[in-house]
Amino acid sequence: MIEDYAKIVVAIVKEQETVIGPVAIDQARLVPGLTLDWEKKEATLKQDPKQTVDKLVEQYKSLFGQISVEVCKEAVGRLAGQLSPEQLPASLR
Amino acid sequence: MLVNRKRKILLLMLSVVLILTWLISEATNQDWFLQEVYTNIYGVIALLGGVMGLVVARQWGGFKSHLGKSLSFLSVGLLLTVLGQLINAYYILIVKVEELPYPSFAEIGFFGAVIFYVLGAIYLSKTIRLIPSLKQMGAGKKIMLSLVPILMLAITFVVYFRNYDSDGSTTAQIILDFAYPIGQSIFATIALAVLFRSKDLYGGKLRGAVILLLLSFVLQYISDTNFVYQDLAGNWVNGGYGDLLYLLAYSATALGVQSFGFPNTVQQVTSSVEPQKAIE
Repeated sequence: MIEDYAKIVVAIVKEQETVIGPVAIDQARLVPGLTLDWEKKEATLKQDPKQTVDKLVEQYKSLFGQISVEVCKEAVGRLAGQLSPEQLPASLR
Repeated sequence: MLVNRKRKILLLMLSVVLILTWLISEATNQDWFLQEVYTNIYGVIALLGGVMGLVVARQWGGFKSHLGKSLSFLSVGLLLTVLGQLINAYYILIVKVEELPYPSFAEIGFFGAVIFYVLGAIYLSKTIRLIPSLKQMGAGKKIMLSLVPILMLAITFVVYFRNYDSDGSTTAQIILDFAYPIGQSIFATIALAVLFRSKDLYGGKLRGAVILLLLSFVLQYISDTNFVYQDLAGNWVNGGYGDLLYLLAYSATALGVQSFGFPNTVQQVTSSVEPQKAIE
């Protein structure tokens, strides 16, 4: 299950990177409980993974408001379908 | 390297000084100063804005991201404007022409700037997901938004071609006569369309920067339209209010691009341990 959230994180950071470049990675590294190895495109979630994804989305939201949230939702796309509504982080619903 | 806040203050102070200089010179009828000196110095805002803008664009990945591309294209647009002004200054001060040739090598700068502004506007619209948001818009908003380009083109063509006469014009002149207003209408239309999205930027630290850029597009459009209007009416004067409009447009673009800069370098942003405080 935690791997699914890690995939979600990678998908979000990748999509944000196309929009805002290296700032996307810098912003993700500011999220507590989230470690990125971006050369390998890998994410490690140390704390509550659902909450970590919410914090990541919130971090991007601080730049472009709701538009950043839309970018995150679009990035997750198919991956979100693999989770039940309860498992899906609130910010991506 | 100057940190972003200092760069912004420098640009702002320089803009204010140049605006005040214009107002004082105008009020005291210093025509010689306005026509001979002022016309050739206010481009320094575009020069500084362009160079400093490229530094900011690099922080966002340069040509590797939508926002980086937008800021890069706008910065190069500012630099191309400077190139156009320098070539015109060469014609006036060195070649000592009585009337500027048109088209001339200056068009590489001026028309190049229009193309780069259009590209900057397109990538800004990609940054804020304009096209996907259009698909989700209601019919009323879609109709209103589709009227924007029609209105912009109508205004442009009324101003530009009301008394248009192509007799004696070369093919290059006719092509440029149409290409300038069409290009300017495109970036002004994108700016107004992006404005529809601005409510979705609430809560974002970069909302002000986006809005300042949109304002700069509109000012650029007004400056260019006014230039053609005055030129066709035969009342364009160097150092007149038209040049003040250009100064405002350059200042808004330079400050708009600069508003995307970090308070410090990227390294310092990355080293921050407190989330939410990376970019202010």
